[in-house]
Amino acid sequence: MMSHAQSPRIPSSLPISMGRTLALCRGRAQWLAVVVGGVALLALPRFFSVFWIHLANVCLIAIIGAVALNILTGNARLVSLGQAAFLGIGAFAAGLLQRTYNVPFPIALAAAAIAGGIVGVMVALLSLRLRVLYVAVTTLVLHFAVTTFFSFVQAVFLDSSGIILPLPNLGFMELQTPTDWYYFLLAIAALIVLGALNLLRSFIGRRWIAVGEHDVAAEALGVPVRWAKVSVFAVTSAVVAFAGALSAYYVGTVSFESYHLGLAIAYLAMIIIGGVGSVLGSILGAVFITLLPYVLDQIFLIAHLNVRANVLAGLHQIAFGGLIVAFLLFEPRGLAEIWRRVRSAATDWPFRYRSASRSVR
Amino acid sequence: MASFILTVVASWGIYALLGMGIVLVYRTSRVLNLAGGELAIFIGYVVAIAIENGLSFPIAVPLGMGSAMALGLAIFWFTIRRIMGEPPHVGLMLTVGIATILNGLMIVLFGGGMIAVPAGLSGFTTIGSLRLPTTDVVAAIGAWLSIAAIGLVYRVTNLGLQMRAVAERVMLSAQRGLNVDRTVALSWIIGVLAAGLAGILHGERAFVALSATVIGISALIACLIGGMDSLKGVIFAAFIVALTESFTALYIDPRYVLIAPVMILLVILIVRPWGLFGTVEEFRRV
Amino acid sequence: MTPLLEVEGLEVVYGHAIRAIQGVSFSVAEGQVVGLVGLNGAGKTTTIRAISGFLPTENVRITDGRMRFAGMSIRGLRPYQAARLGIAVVPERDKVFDTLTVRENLEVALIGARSSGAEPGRCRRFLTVHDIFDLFKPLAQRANQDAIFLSGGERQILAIGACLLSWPRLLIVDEASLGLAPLMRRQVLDTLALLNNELALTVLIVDQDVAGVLSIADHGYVLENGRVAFAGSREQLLRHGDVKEFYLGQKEERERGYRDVKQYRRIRRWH
Repeated sequence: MMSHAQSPRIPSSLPISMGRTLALCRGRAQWLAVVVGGVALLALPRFFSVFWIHLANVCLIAIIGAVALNILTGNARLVSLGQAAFLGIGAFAAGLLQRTYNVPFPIALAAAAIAGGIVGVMVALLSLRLRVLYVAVTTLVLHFAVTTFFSFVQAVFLDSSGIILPLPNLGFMELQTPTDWYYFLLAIAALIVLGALNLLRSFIGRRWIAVGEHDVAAEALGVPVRWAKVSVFAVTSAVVAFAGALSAYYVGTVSFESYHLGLAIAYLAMIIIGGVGSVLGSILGAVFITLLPYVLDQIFLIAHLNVRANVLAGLHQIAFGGLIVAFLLFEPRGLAEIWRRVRSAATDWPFRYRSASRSVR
Repeated sequence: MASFILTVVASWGIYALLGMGIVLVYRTSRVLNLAGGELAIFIGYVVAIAIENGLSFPIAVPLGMGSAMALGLAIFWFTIRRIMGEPPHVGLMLTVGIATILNGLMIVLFGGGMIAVPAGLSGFTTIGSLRLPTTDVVAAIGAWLSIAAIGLVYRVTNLGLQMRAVAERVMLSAQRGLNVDRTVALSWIIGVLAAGLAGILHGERAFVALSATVIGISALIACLIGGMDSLKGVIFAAFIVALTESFTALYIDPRYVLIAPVMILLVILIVRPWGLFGTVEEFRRV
Repeated sequence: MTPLLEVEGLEVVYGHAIRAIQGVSFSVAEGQVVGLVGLNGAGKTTTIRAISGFLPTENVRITDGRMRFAGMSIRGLRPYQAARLGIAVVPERDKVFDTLTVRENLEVALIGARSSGAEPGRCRRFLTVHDIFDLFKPLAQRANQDAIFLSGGERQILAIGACLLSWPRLLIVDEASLGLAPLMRRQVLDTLALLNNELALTVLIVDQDVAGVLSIADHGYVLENGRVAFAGSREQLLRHGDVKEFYLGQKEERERGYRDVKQYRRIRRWH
C-alpha cells in the first residue's frame, strides 16, 4: 500500500511542523483510514447514549495524560510515579485561580500547564544526577509531598470539601453537555497526539529518545543530556497538569483525595499495557484501562456472578495488577505490539512477513 | 515518657524489619520491592482471620510466617525468576503490579476493613516501676528478635554467605558454582517473611487495615535514607523515621506523620543520594 | 590418548558483524601447562568464555566449531554445567569477593564446589580451606581480612585457591599477570608451575606476557586477530623467528632482507 515514491522533502527542523505532520500518513490507504476514522469519531455522539459519550470523554482526558507520561517514562525512560501529583497540581492551580480571581477557563488551563511545567523543571533538576531507580523514588517522594501539601491547603484554606468549579466558558460556547465536552476534548486530544507524534520525530524528540536509551552514550555523541531531561520533564509535566485541570473542570470539583498513588499506578499501567514508547500504545492503553472496570462488570454480569459492590473494587484491583504483571512478563511492548502483529499479518497475507521492515511507531 | 520511648522502639523495630526485607531482596535480585507494605498487611490479615476463626495466637503466628514464606517463593518463581537481568524499572513496575494484586486480594478475601489482631495481650505489663502497654512490649521484643535472627543468618550461616556473595558479584558466584537462582529464591522467601512478621507485629500492636499499608512507605523511606544496599543503614534510618513519626503523631497531627521522613529523604537525595550507609558503586550501577 | 580439552575450528560472532575468533583449534592434554597468548583483542578472553560457558547470550553466538572436554561436547553449556565437569576459571577481573574475608571467600567457593554436583565417574576429592592455607602461606596470614585489602598478587592467588577447592580437572587462568608487578607475576607463574608439578593439575594460561607463559608452559598457541598464528611446543615457539621478534622482543641476529620482511607481511596480511 505505498503509493509510488514521492520526492523526498528536506525534513523540517522545527519541533512541530506541518510538513512532518502531513508526512505521518504514508500512502492513500492510510489517508483514507484517517478520514474515515475522523468522520466516525465526529459522528459518535449521534449514535451513542450519554453514558458512552461520558466514557469517551474520560478516555480522551486519560489519553492526554497517558501520551505525556509515555514520552517521559517510555521514550526518555524517566520512570515517574508522580503522575497523580502533577494532575493534582494542575487541578489545584486552575481551581485556586478560579476560586480566588475568577479567571476565564483558558487562562486557568494555561496557568495549570505553567504550574506543572515549573514543578516538572524542579523535579528534573533534582533528579539530574540520579539513575533510573532513584528518579522513580524522587517522583514518589514528590507524590507524597504534593498530596500532603494539598491536603493541608484544603484543610486550612478551603472548606474541606475542596473547590467547586463553575461550568467552563470557552468564549464562543459554554461546555455544558457531555457532547459539548466531547468535541472540545476530541480537538484537544487530537492536537496533543499530533503534537506528540511530531515532537518524537523532531530533533528534540530524538534527543529525548537518545537520553532514554543510553544517556552516557548520548552525552558522548554530543546530546545535551541535562537540557534534554529538564525539557522532557517540563513539557510532559505541563501537559499532565493541563489534563488534570481539564479533568477537574469536567468533574466539577477539586479535592486532594482524588489524587492518590493508585491514580499514578493506573497511568503507568496504561503505558505498560498499551506499549511503552509509542503514542499508539498510550491511546490503546488509556482506552483499555478506562474501560476495564466496565468490561469487568459486564463479564461478571454475563457469568451470573453476583458480587457485592466493595468486593467488586477488589476484583478490579486484582485484574488490574494481574494485567500489569502479565504484560510485563509476556508482552512487554504492549497492545501496540499486538496491534502491529495483527496488522502486518492482515496486510501481508498471504505472505508471512514483509522482507524490508519499515519503522513503525 | 517511658511509654513514648517504647512506642518509638516498637515502631523502629517494625520499620527496620520491613526495611531489612526490602534491602535483602534488593541486594540479591536488584529489584526494589515497592510491595512491602501490602505484603506485610496481607500476612497480618491472614493471622487476624486465623485467630478470628479459633486458632490461638501462638499457632496463628507460625501459620502466618509459613504463608509469608510460601508467598515469597511464589513471587520469585512466577515473576522474579523471569525478569532477572532486565533493567531496573521492570522489577519496579512488577512489584507495583504485585502490590495492586495483593490490595485487591485483601479486599476480596478479607473484606479490607479494620481488624485488630486479638492476641489476648491487652493490658499492661509492669517492668520495674514502669507500666507499659503489653502490645507494644510484645511488638518491640518480637521485632528485635526477628531482626537479630535475620542478621545472624546473614552474617554467620552458609546461606547468608552465599547471599552476600551473590549480592556482590553474580557472575563470579556462578563461576564458583553457587546456585544463584536458589540463593535469590531464598532471599525472597526471607524478605517476604520479614515483611510478614512486620505486618503481624503491627497488627498486634495496632490493627490491620488497607490504610495500614503505609508502613511500607515508611520502611521504604528508611531504606532509601540508609542506603538501598545496606542492612546497617536501614536499621539506623528506621530509627530516624520512627522517632520523627512518633513525635509528629503525638505533638503535631497524626495526618502529617510522613512529612518529616519525606523531608529528610529529599535532603538525602540532594546531598548524598546513595544513602547514609550505601555504597556509591551500587548507586552508580543502577 | 585423547586430550583433555579439544577445540576445533571455533568461531564466535559478536552481534551480527564482528567475528571475534575464527577457525581456532587447539588442544590441552592432561597434566600439561598450555599457554594461549596474544595481543589485546586477539580473541583470548572470547575463547575462554566460549569454553567455560560465559558468553553473554543475547548478542554473541558460537557459529562454528567443536569443543570437547574429556571426550564430551561442551558447546553451548551453561556455566554451572561446565563447572560441574571440572572446568574452573580464574577470570580477568572481579575475581574475588571484596566484601568477604579471605576465609569467607574460600568457604563460599567450597560451598559452590560441593553444590555444583559431581559428575558420575569423576574422581572427587575436595581440598579443605585448611589445605589452601597450607599451600599459600600469605593467604593464611590474612585469613580474616576483607579481600578488598589484598594486593594484586594476593588476589590472584586467592582466586586460584578458590578454584582449587573444587579439585578441577582443568584450571583456566585468564590474564594471569594483568596489572601485576614483575615480581608478582613471577610468583603467580611459579605457583601455577608448582601446582602443575605437585598436584598434576592441568593448566591453561591466557596471557599477554609471552615470555613468562612460555617459561612454564609445555605447549603454546599464539592468537592474532582471532586466529591461531603460531602453535607448537615451548622449544619450537622459543626458536620461532617471528615469535621471537614480535612477541619476545628479540631481534634476529641476521639482517632481514627485503624479501623476508615482505614475505612475512604477506603472510600476516592474509591471515
